[in-house]
Amino acid sequence: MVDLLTVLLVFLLRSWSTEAAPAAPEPGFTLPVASSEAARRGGLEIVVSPEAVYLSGERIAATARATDSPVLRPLYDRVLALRDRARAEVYVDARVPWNALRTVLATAKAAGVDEVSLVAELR
Amino acid sequence: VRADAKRRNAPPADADLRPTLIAAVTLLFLLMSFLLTTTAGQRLGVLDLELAEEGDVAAVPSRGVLSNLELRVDGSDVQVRMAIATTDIAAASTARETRAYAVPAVSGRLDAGRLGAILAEAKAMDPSAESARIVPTDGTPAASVVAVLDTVRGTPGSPLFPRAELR
Repeated sequence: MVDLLTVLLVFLLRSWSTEAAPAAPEPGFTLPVASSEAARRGGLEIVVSPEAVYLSGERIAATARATDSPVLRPLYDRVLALRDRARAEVYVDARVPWNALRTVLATAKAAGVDEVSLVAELR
Repeated sequence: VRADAKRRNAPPADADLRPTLIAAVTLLFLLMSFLLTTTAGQRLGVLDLELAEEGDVAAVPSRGVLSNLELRVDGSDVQVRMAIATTDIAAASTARETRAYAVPAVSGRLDAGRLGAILAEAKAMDPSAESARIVPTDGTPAASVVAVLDTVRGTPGSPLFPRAELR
């Protein structure tokens, strides 16, 4: 019994992360899968779901608006107003189309974010 | 004296070990519940991005045996194009041959194995090459973009083209 619990404990310590993703804005939100072992370094949290774009948990605009314009103006204004915007981590749902994601990434860059990373679930 | 002290501290031969075991099991249960409440089952990693801006000239250098490595991603299908020098790359005018490979989706998913094999072959031709250009179509889902980017970069142990740029 003690051995079993010790093995379970070691397994949990190895496979679980203390850095949880931000709460999924909508049910069914799934991150893409990758093998990158690069650790998260923090920064602005931008979440792109099939429905909407969120900045630090606040809904900014509908994702549909990002599919037909080169810059997402509401996101641009909000990011520009922030003092600390050197880094951003983008949590994108696996189903979001590239044109919407490209607009969000380009908007963050245009608003002065130097380093943009995509967060993925490790394989 | 030491032997006496040892005998005094040792548990008697007929001691009941159950309280000790129960204490150990309780401690492990407590540790596990603490871990389950403070951690998440999802392990996350990040992919740093190099984004081409509007009007940027291609960053992929045209020198070297391998050049202009480009991956066009449409859904889960990928077209790989690259230029391979067929004559001395130091010569004034180097002849280049364009090679193209199709990597169709398998069961609706990216064939990462075949794509990885093509890229590994390209890397073997020019180990100094590090750049690639990924051009997804508008409707390509983020999952495919990330999967292609991940495959193109390779693993830390065997990197392929770590300076992959999204367009």
